Amino acid sequence: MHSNTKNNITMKKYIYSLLCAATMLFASSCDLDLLDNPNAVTASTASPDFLLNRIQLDYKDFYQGISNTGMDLTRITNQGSAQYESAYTTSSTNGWWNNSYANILADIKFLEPLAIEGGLQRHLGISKTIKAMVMFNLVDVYGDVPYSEALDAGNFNPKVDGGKSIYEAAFATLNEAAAHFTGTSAGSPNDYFYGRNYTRWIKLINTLKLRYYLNLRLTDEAGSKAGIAALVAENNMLGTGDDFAFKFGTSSANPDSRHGDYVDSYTSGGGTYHSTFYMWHMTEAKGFDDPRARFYWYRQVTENSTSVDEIECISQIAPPHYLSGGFIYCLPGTRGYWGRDHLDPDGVPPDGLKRTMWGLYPVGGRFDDNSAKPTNSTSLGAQGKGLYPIMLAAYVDFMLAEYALEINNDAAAAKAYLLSGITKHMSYVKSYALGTQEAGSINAYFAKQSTTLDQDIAAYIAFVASQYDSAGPGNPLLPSKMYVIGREYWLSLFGNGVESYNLYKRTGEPGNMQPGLEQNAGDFPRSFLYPNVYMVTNTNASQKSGLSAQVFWDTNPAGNSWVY
Amino acid sequence: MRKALLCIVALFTMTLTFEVSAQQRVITGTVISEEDGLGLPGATILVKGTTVGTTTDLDGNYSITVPGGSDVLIYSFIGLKPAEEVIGNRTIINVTLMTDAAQLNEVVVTAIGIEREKKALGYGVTTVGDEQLSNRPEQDVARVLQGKVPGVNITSTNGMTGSGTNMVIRGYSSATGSNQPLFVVDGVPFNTSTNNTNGFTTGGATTSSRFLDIDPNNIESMSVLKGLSATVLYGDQGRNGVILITTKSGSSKRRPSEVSISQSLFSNKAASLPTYGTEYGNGFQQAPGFFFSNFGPGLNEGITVDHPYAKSSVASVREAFPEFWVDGIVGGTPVKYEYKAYEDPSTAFFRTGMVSNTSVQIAGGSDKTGFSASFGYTDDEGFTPGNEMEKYNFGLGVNSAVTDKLYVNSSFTFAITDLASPPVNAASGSGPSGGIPSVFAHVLYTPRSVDLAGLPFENPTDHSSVYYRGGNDIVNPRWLAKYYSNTSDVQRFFNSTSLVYDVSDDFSVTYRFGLDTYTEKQEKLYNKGAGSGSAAIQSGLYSTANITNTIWNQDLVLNWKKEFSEKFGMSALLGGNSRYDSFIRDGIESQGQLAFGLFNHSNFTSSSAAGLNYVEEQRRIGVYANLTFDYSNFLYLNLSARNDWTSTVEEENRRILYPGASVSFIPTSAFNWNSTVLNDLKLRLAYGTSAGFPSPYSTRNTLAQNAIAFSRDGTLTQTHSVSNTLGNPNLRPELQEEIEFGAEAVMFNNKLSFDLSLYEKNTNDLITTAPIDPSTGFTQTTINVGKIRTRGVEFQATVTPIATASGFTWNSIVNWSLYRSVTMELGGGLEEIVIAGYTNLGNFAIPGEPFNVIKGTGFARDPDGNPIVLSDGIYKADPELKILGDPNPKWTGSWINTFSFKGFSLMGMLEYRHKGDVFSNTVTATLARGVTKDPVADREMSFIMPGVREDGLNADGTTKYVPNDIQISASDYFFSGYQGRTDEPNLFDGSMIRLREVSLGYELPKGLMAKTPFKRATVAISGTNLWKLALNFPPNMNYDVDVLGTGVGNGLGFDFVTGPSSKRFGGTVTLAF
Repeated sequence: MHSNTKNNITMKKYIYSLLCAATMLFASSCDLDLLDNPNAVTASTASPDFLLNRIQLDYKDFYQGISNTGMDLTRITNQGSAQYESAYTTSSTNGWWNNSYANILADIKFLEPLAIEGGLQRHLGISKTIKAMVMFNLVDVYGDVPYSEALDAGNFNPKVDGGKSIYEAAFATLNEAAAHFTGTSAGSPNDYFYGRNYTRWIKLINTLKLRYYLNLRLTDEAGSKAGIAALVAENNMLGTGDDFAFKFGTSSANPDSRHGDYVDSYTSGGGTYHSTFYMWHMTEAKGFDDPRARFYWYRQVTENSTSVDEIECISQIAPPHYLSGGFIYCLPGTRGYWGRDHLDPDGVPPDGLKRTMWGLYPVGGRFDDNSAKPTNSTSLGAQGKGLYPIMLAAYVDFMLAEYALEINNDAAAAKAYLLSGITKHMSYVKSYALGTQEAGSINAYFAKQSTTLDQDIAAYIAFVASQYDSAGPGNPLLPSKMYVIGREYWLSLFGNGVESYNLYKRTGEPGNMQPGLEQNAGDFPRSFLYPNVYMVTNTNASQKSGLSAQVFWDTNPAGNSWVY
Repeated sequence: MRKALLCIVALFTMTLTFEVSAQQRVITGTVISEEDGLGLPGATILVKGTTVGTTTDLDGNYSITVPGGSDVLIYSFIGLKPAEEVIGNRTIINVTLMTDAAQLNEVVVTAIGIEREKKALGYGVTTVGDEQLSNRPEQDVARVLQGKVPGVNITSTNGMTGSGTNMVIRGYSSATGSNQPLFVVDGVPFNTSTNNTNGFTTGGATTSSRFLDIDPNNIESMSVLKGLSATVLYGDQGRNGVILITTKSGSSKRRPSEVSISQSLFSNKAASLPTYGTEYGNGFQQAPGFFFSNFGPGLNEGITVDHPYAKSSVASVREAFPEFWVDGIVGGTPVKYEYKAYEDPSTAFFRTGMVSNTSVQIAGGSDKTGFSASFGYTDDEGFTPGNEMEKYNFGLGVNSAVTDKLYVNSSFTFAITDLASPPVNAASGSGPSGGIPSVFAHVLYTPRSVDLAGLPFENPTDHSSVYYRGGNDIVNPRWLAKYYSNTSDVQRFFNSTSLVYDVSDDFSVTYRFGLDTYTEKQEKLYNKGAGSGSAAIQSGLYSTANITNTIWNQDLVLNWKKEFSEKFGMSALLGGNSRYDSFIRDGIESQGQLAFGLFNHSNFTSSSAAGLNYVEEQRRIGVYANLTFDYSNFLYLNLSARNDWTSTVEEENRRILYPGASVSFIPTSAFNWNSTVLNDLKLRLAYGTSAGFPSPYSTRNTLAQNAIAFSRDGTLTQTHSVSNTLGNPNLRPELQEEIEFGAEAVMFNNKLSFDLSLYEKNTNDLITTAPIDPSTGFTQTTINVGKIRTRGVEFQATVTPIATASGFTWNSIVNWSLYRSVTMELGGGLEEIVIAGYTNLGNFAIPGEPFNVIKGTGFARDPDGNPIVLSDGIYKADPELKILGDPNPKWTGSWINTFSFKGFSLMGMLEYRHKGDVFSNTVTATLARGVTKDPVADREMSFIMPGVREDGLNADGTTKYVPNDIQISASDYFFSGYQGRTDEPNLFDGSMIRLREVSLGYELPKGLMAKTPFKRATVAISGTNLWKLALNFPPNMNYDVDVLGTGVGNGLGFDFVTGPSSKRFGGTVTLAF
């Protein structure tokens, strides 16, 4: 025990030196400031140009989401569920809600102060126009949605605003946007739509106002009438050449910049089933082909299949309500227009290289020159250099035709607008098509025909003109002039289900549509259920009564009997 | 392993000096362990009634000077039964110490490497010895553990060699955070991540988990710390339980010089393929045709059809095979193709893989220094063509007494794991998800009249895939297996070094350093020419990702102990820990392959970063303390606490302190209850807490960037976008709490022992990646919300029903456990969170429901609950998603029986899982396609779905339902019945019984061995998963619920055609010299 003191001293020394060592060790590793994500851009390095690019690109996807649904519902393409309620559940439209609020509107909100600071007037103009379109679209598909309390990270439970007030706010936003397109501006944004032609942006804004007033005609006809009259007088809406369309490229990778429907159909065949009813209208109903049919679709076979392996319905009889209503069933005509009836839930037989495909317009596929080849190659057609026809000059005329007929009761003016609309659409499709690399096969095809494309168009317009004249009560096939306007607008809305769905809800036209195969297909969606991403997260969310709920401007009679 | 003891302890006692009196005699001898017949280093020899004693050297030899008047020696070794020997007139006494069946004296490794007797522990620890781990057919240490530890749920993602494995201990505690346990190897953390670059719908479901780099044959022992009280010293990383592994190279146990070599050879086969039917062939509605489906006419009708390649819609397929045209005239008459039952996929596609494992262990040393070196080589061929793993494991451990007071113990392991596998991706029964290939997507329902083995799979002109469908729109599985590969090449270095300094007998300082670093190169090699799938993949795709993951870990621990009196002692531990993790992934993805077969990025037309570049680092610092008090060997109190600082939250929330406490009480010792019926009884109670830290970068907002967003007319445009994830600056660590009660007993003269644990675990203010209403501008944020509660029971019993004098013993172990994890609340008004799967079919957290309930599309039902049938004769879907099942097993158990007699040892392990729903697309895809022996039905008949149909209105205006009478064909009944509008028919009860392991070993008698240069020789044959039965699945599916379609993570109970399980059988020879 004599060495106790010494031991203690030694021990203390050891402890001391160990603590020193420990401190050294930890000191080198005490940097806990690892909070900035080294993988991402921060607010201070964000670029207004790049933000505006994203806003435009996301908007085109938002448009396409609603458009595809609208086309399915208005029988432009096939809806493959047996019933509406299983096709349009709360999960179905999560993407719309996500993309509109968390992508487009959130980016616009982030961009605005940056753009104001930098004097980037044009950035503001474009982004506000898109913001207004998104708000109109949200109200059109859902009704009341969050607006005044939305886009606030401090409030996880924003309440909805009335659809009408949002419509009005969006209209005001359009006015703000228009102001940003005049006067001086710093910066030069990338404009995917108009290549920095701001005159056209103003024309678009005026056209969106027309759309606004037309949608409001059921609830405020006087206001609509005055508003549209002023727009007509100003005469500064989209005209020929001003079409608002998102145009795709041919880059197949890094990034894939082709029309999505082209990629889905032409990579290995298959893809969307087209609507027997719509194809019937374009090829059989009038007794001659719509000149656009060869642009809309490409047939991989030009004769109807006789194999039940490939197309089961040829061995089956139509459901009773098809027979009693005289609806086309299974195959329109005999020439290989091979699609599906409304709400046909069947599985997919080996018909991917047989069924009718998207054609040249608007997805950038093949022109149908009767070549009847499988379309399982991405080198075919216009290689996906298609477009989204979001708002065309032709649509302006169709909307004005409805205005003239329904608000002004001016059937003659309506007819002029109708024929002008068809003409503009035909020439839009034609000039688009001849601007693609399919021009050669188009010209070669028509060189062999007895009539030119222009003659076909003229004949078509003459036919519709006479149908319009004969339409009216007492004519079972053409029950009203609005039917003809609606039907022709609908036939021009290939690739645009946003407007066809709106048209259908607003006018019920074209009436007498092919019903679902299931006799009781449930409620036709007059609006969509609030999506799951909203319902399960927002304590202020309350689901609507169902798919039959109508948006504020839709004061038409409730229920399916009105839309069918 | 019972004699496992830190060399420190041995050396301690070795250096003790004792007073020696006169009139002494010297006794020498060897202390031998019964367990392996080898000398026991560090055993204590005491002269009874004195303080005179010594310890054995490394070979177990001792020499003791016995004072006059003493005649009895006491031999003891921790964990073994002490022995007394009367000296008499002997001068040489050799003693064999027997294993102490009284498990309470067993020594177990606990947190921070502290070894303690089991009776002192206030919490449950399960130990697994090397005899349960080595020479197993499986090379994945987690899979070897399946069923062996109550409370640990282990699920393979599928049975492929090298596929990932999911491990969850004591149920779930976090909804969106990790529930995977911490692996600690030789005292330092070991990364076990599953580094998938893709989700389960884009090919990432079965990515390897990095415990694959551990060589099971180099494991000496394993302790599983399950509760928070046991793991509190490990900080947040230990909150999901800790698997403590001591490797042979890392063990500080001194070993006698020995070389042991073992060689194993096993076969590896797919265990859960359906039994295929032979009655019907390809077609639909009883008509032949080249469908996915097998609802064609009977195969015995002698039908022939045109050869599918000649009938192809694709010109290049028709033209490439003149042999399928009569007289070779392409475009003429197709040759006829027999419509008969061809070889089924179980042999036409799957194979028997061979698994070979060579393992060498060399140990030796001097009295101051010991070493252990190991080498392992494994070549593991999967049952799927193209699936193979090669593994090299090198281990070297050195322990040395540098001075009397300073010891060093260092272990190094180096592992090379090279894995190749055909891609696996979620599939629904109509091809793989999103156009991303999956080897199993189409092969399992190959129509019976399609000759998978005989049809050419490659177009001779351009190497592209060819197959039977008219549009050539599915990839030939054989082509896929040959020309598509996912690879992972890992090189891993791991070191654990401890320095121990004994300041005094009562006080020591340990510094432990750990470095775990590996590089993993992951590649996707997809040749062009598939003919289906995403455009990028069809063009040929090559993706490389280089991952470097590093953990630097340091601990400094001060240990102090004090015996205050004979009855009362205490020990204290104070430690500090610093851990730094870094993950770096760089990658490039190319598409547009030029020359077929060549994988070099320059052979591709277009490349991008494809989101593969990612960097993450985090650091945590902790200070921990542990106090133990023991009283009279029957009462133990343990107090612990840890304080952490993390780099993953903002500064004001960085720190969290969490305590734990446990008590162990041995009433049998306290009250002298010991009897032959009740030998020992221990009661324990523990309370523990732990922190959870969020993943890095959750507190601040960022923007997403895309450098190649869109390209038109040669102009490439870029984008910035506000991230959809809202940064939460107020995020703070979460706190988890657990209370645990246990009882352990030894009964009937050590013939029965059991260990029972009951626990309740609560997590509050869970760190949750919660969805928020996108109308806020963000879709999700990481936030402290929600509560999950898990309650559970674990039970392990060991029985020796028979132990005869002739040497026959029957030993039986029963493991049983259950857990109930319930989502108590989500907070913030959240109604549900998708845990895994799809938003419309997945595992959900819903308040009040079991965690992970499966929600999906159910049948629409009438008010009486009958499913409603639509006019097409098929069930109507309920538009609202419904809870369809609970994937959590009600309970699981296993029963391990070992019979030994004269060197023979026969072991069988049965496992049972009770309930727990499984959503299986494998089952429904094959049933819906009509290829399996089930369903047994005359397909010429018509069928009626049981249920009701709508029939107008009742008088009160409600819908009228009448019994369904709509007749449909067999095709519609089975196809639309299983793959129709609803998910509900895809759920099955997952109850399952399985023969997990069986082995028969023989150790050659020592007498025989004495004539050879070898010390020991054993031969064994063994198998895993040789028999199984899923009780409530269609019998001919031969289904195995050991599959995880959502991949490693929190999901459970989904099989998206994820692949069969494996069964392995073979033998091992071990020689030691």
